[in-house]
Amino acid sequence: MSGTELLSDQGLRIDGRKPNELRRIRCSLGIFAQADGSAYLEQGNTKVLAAVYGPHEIRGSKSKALHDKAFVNCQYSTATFSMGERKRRPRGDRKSTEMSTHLEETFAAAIRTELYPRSQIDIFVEVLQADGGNYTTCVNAAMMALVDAGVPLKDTVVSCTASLVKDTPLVDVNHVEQSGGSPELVVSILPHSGEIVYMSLTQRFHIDHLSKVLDTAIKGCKDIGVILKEIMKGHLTKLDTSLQAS
Amino acid sequence: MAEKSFSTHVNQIYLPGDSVVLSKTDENSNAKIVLGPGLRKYGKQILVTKPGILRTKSSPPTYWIDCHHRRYVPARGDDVIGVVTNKVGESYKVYIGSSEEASLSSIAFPGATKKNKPNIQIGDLVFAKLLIASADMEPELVCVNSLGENVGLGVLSTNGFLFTVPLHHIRKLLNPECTLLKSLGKALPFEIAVGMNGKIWIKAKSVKQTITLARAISMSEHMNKEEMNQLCKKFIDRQAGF
Amino acid sequence: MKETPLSICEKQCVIQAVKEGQRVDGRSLAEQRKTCITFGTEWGCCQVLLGNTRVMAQVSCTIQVPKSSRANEGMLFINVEMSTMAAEHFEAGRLGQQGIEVNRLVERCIKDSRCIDLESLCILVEEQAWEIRVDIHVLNHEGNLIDAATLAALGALCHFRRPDVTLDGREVIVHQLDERDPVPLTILHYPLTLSFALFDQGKIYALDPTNLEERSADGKLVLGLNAYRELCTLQISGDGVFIRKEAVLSCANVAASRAVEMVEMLKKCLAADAAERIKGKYDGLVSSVALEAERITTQSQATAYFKTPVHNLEENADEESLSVPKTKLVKDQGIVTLETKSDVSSSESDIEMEPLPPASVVKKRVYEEIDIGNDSEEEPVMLITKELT
Repeated sequence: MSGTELLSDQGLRIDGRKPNELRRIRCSLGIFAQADGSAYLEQGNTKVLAAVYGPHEIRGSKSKALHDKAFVNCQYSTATFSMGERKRRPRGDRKSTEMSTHLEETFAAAIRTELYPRSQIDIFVEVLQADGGNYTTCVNAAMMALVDAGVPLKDTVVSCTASLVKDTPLVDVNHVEQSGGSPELVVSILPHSGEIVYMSLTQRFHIDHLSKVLDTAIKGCKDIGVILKEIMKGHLTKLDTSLQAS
Repeated sequence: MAEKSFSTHVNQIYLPGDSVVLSKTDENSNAKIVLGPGLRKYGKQILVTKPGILRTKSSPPTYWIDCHHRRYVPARGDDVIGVVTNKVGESYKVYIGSSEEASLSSIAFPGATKKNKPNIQIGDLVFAKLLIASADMEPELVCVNSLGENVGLGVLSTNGFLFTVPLHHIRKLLNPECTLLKSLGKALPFEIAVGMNGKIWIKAKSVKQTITLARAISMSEHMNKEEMNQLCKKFIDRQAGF
Repeated sequence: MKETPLSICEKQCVIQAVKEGQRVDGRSLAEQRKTCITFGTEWGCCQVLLGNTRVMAQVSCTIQVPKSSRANEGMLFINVEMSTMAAEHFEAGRLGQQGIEVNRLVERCIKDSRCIDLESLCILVEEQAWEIRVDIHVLNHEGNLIDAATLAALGALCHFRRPDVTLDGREVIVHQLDERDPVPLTILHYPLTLSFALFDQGKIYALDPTNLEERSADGKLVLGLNAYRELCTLQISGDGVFIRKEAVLSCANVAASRAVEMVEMLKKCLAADAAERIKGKYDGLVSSVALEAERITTQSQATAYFKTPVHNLEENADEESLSVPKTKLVKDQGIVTLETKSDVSSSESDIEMEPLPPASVVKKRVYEEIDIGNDSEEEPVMLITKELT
């Protein structure tokens, strides 16, 4: 697909957004009764469920236990109905395992694992509808679930995508823009310090554009961070007032 | 075979399955002859089991095969360097490169009692002696001699550098005739612990010096005496001049 | 089998050395290990030796039905195999997490960046197209598998020739290799990866990490670049890494210049291999074994390895055989950036493409005359008495 379809002459994208506009974010916390923490997050049409269990005893082989840290275990799963064509294997294929590993590494950096040696923290993420930015929505949803579970974090982790079409950086790409052949840069940062925890790029562009696209992605992350913080505050305030009433 | 002179046998290469002929004096004497690693008595013959060079020593008459290998098999009395991997009850599990992790009791240290134990972290390096190393049991390490005295064993400082070297190189370095370590010591003062399991720990004044010394030692694996002397000389010149 | 445990001592030493701008094997922070690329006798067989890391790639092709969503394109599959032969802790059969990471990165660098023109692989639209398979085998793991695997895959793809095909109406005739010369693949650009190990909260980075450095590092930054300074892929991973944007940009610049040199070297190796094939005498991978014989170091070889540390660059006059990219450490706001100005001739020394060197060059192993006094007796000592004779 050529660049003209992804970005019109008036500077509008396929779904009518401007290049620096995020998709609508909706979130609710504490939706599962069983899990220690859970969250449901929608970014545009991408819908993700996240559940957190832990810190709890190591399950399975005890050899995985780390003597000074908690072991973070993530499972990234895409539902069979999440894409246009039915997906045969929700998890266990290479892409899902790679995503799980990256989620594990991202959260192992953000969670204060040194407080729980020899234990395990599970994060389960299920993509219900995939419309671009699957990984970023998963990171954001898992982060909300961790906050809901009360797991101590060094800082919140926020993630966002950015792309480059006709020398204009776009923020928060959807599936059509992603599969159209334009590069996609995924960044996860800690909003307070601006430090990058995870970054990956698919497709290619010239190295001179890297700075621009990276800036766009980081700004997108910070904007998403502000929105998610508001949602978190709302949720915690709701919990708080119910205590005071009694 | 018995007619060949003995001097052609020692320092020759033998392969597994070859048979060894002893010198006439040793054959005729009544003293016990010691067969070291790589040799096996099979009926009336002495057969070679490991490929290598036949060496001999005169008192007591000992023969062995000098073999090149990297995998360590624990032997009682060896000083080895191990990495502490776990604490189980009163003892530590130490990885020394053998088929099983060795155990090191927490009171096998100089001046340690049940109430006063040393503080060892997982990931620390220990320089210890193998007390028990048989084929049927897990190896056991101690950091004291049988009288409980300090003999230079114990926890190694984390400020040094640990590297691995093949086992035949370790034996070469520990040979009293090998002057490499002494000559390097003239150029730069350093602290070194050589483990028979192929690990060497070294510590010099700065990280740069430590690393250069470590690289010089691993590089000298295939050098003979003259080449080693040249290496040390170059080393000394560099350190002195620049 | 489990991996040998990493002691605190080794990790601290690596981190301390890197903070001072030096590495445990004597290299500087922006220096790669010695790279050797050799090709096999079969078309599409490439072996890469990056220091001690050894990876081999083989390309094969079959005719298949193209995917319905891309009916006019051929297919490219990349598969990485890591057996226990390469390292003790690799599982035989299944790819562990590390294996999947290597596989995905090679795929993203080579397949997703569209370096092979897949449309030229189509024979009959919607019916027949070439499926190219790259099988990468890791033979020895000594750090930086990703770079070695990508280089091997790229070398194999550049080296590969597929059988020529003619269309007779709707009938497809595949010519045998002796009927018609096989056809090379159409390569649009040459993407390579360059990996950096990140230390000290992302402030210090070391190019081409060894196994020990990888295990001691906070995280890893992998950059995929081609000769036109285009970024094909990028990944930061690691469970302790926090890196700033400026550090990423400076790494990218260092990597871009290095990628240009590596592509040049690859092209030279391919040209040398082509010249050898024309001459007819061809040793294939045996020539790389001859290179191994040179690696048994004696004093003269030790001279080349035993380089002075980074800030005494003037002494390198007597070690011209191995040119070092001249680097300057610039500390700026706590971030150590490297400005490299590598020698033009550095690519020369990386190529080891001569067939079996003449016998005089190969260093003979010198046996030690040192008599070993107190040997360690690994086996129970057997005493023999006079009954033997």
